[in-house]
Amino acid sequence: MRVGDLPQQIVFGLGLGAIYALVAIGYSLVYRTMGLLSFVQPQFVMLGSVFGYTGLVTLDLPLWLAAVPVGVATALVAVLIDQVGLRPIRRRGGAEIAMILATVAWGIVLVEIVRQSWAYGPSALNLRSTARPPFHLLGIEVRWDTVGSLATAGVLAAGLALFLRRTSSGRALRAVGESSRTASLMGIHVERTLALAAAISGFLGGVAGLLVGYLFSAGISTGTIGVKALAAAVIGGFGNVPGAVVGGLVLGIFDNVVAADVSATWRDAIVYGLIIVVLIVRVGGLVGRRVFSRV
Amino acid sequence: MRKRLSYLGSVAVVVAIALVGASASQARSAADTIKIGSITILTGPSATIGLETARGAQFMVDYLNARGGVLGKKLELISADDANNPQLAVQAAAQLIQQDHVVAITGPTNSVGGIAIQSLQAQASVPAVAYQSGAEQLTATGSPWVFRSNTTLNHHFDALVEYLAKKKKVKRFAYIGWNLAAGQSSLAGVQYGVAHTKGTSLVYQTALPLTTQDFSGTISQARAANPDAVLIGAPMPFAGVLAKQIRQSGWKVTIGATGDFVTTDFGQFLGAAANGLIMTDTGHAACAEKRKTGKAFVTAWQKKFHRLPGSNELVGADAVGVVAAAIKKAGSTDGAKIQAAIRKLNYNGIRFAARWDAKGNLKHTPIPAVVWAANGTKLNALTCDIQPVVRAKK
Amino acid sequence: MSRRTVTRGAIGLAALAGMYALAPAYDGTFFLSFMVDVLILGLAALGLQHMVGDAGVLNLGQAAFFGLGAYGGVWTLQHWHWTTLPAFGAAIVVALAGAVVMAPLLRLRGVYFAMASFAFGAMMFEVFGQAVSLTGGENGLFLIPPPKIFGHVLIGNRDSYLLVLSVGVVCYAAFALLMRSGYGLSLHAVRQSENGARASGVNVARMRFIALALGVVPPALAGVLYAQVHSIVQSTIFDFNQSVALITMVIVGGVASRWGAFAGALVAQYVAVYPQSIAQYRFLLYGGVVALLMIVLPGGIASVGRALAGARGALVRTRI
Repeated sequence: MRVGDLPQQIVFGLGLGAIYALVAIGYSLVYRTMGLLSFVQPQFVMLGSVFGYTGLVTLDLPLWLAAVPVGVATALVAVLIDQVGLRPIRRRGGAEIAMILATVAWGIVLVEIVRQSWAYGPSALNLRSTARPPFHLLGIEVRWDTVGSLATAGVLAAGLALFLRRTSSGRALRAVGESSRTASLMGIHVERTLALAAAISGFLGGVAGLLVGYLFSAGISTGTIGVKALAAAVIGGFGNVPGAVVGGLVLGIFDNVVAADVSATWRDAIVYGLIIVVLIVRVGGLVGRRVFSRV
Repeated sequence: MRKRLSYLGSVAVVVAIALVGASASQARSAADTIKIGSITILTGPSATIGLETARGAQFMVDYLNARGGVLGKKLELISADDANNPQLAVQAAAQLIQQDHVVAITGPTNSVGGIAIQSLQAQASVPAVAYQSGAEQLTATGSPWVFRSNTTLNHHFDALVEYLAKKKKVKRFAYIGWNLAAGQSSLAGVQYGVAHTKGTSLVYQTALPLTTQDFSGTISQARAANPDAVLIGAPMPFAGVLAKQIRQSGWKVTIGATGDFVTTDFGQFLGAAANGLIMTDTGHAACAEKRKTGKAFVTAWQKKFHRLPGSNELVGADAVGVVAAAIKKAGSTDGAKIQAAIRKLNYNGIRFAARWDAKGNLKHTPIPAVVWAANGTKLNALTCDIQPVVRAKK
Repeated sequence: MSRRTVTRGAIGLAALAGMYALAPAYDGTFFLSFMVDVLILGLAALGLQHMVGDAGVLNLGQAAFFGLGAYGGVWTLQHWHWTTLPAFGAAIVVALAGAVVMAPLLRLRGVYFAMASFAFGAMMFEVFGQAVSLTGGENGLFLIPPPKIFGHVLIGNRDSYLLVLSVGVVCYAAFALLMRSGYGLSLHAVRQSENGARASGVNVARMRFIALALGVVPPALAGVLYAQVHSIVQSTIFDFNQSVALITMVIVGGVASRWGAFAGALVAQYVAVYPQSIAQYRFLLYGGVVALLMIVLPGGIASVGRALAGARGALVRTRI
């Protein structure tokens, strides 16, 4: 293990971590408000990369401008799935298993729709291969991509925090997250709030997907990054939104360091194993407070 | 009563499905043609390769039929999709052999799929001429029923090393490849090439999973070893993403690869950044045109498609050509006789003249070198055989 | 014995006889090869049905146990030249090891086990693909010997079919008997009311672990059978899509029904194989059908009869 290399790998990992953070917030938000483990969340990342292709390549928008329509488009899909696929199950009193399976099913549906209709194969969104050269900080190479990802994640996370604290819809989200029954007794429209939660998680996933497409490639395989982000949500405490941000950055660094200095081949296996270990050791995650949720 | 009805109802559903399944066990094609089964990648991220190969194969069937067919009958190509998944290749082979009664199989593209179908082939005595399949394991199993239509990746990379050393004065090589069979073959070829070419050395090597998206760590390590050229031993999307990230990091090193892996969408993916990238390839229209059979084929192709055929299309065509020539030589459509015929065949093909050894490998075939140009839209042939004198051991 | 039991028993036996008769009737045809695969997958799905339907444990990584059994069995077949039955034993041991790893998570809420089982499946898929010396990596292992039982080597699809069918029948019968025993009654009580069962002295976590352990046995056997019938085994067989396919089979067949696992396997494989035009869309179909069933008919095929006969209980009965 090259110790001198470590700060460099950490910096590389932060860019990836910002992306993980965005997706992880989505997972935790949905779990907090709906009590649902959503397997459709990683596919929002995939959708974001695909919509991103339309925005960046077909319409030739600059990256920061493309983020809004891409996020909104993905959010719309998220709401659609929630209302068409999940709400009826909630209405008939379906159990947790049914809901989780439904999200797995919808996730598969999204992947397959894109697989069949996406004519471009894996595509690069960032076609300008002569990007701005990286700058150096204290001898460590910092790429502008990393800065951009962190800035994006930072802005969105801060925006979400403000939203949750300052607006009535945001407060409604937190209320429903505590207890949906109490919230509805207080006059909060629960279904609409849940749809909002779906929309936000879709938006975040979509923007994350746009970044993935920009940095790496767009297409079906981008869902894997979304799946690994589940580890980030677990590390931060599943359901803990600020924890998800920390978890995302931690995972990004961990993932990158493992890939560079331990084994690139076993990188994904180790991340998945991490999920299991964290769950066994501490359900509340490594960051958040311990939440007892025994059977 | 209700309960019994309900139970019966459910059973009825199942029986209905089973009956439909049994009845669907009909052969899928017309009678009285010689049926060849083609298995390749028709869907999924690597579909470009398979669709092109299948197109070439189908065109060859039409081309041969227009010239009288084989043994007085028309050939028929039944095309199946394995989506680059060996499990599906087995399924496709089972259907082609047991349901459609094909006399031979062309394909699959992936060597691992090729290995997977060998036991079915042996049980039914059906020979297969593989498409791209460059990994050595394909023929290492010892099955007498498999034949290559392309030389191994090992050979490709060995030749590439020699070529880059001679023509581009490359001394220090770095290799970043895939950790699957084909990648292992490629690495072995690079190592052999470096060992047998004076003044060259392999300064960095690594094997990564195909789904790797983020190469930044690997690129920085490779760069630290200061190579003159980076060889990519993996297909798309790996090859494209890696090449893109290399260029994005500002590194202007020479990049080499093989067309076995790198398909036409590589050019689209990289655009101008692809220019100057040198590859070995499985074939090239310009080289095929230098041969009599090749020229006739390419001319016919241009008439129909108004463009030159690509390497995968040529591969597909030649695989069918081998089968057809073997049937003619054997004078029969019996699988065992076709297999025996291929062993003794001197195939006058579109891309090259080919003969096989006892293991099903090709004895020397020319390897063209090509270069990307014009913003990734053109593949120009640099030379039609970069290793005219094959190193003894191969 | 009530009339209903006799009727059901008669129908069951007739169906079974019919299944055995398929072997000579369709010997050498693709349909029989297809049915062999259906039964192998149905066996893997049977274990999953027990976990999900009988014990309420949502395992999203069943393919991992399919793989563990396959690789475990194949190791003994290739390195120590064991025959099929001992290889089954080895496969079960390896699969149980996996179940033990997952055991601590059964104490937590269902959603966490679902997450962990998914992660386990994803992790094992990576292990299968990268641990080249053990599993052959993504190339897989080939030249696996055909099944050999009591000295008889079974080659050809008729013999394979009879073997797989017989293993399936034995497992099916075993689970049927188990569910009628004290264990089964405890599980049933837990499904009705978890707190009530606990109050009656049922150790819920231990019940769930037993269900998990029992549920990994059929896929382990299925793994060995797959490997020996096809003579190759590769990591791509044991990916998340395979877990999804198995879940689909269980849901489509009816999560509360044992024979539903096989019926679901028949439907899912049929879609995957026969209609050339649809085959590439099969995962779209799996996802769409499961999503639809979750809303409309969670009971699957097994509840179709009930639903058609107008029983309102069909929707609610299945309790998922």
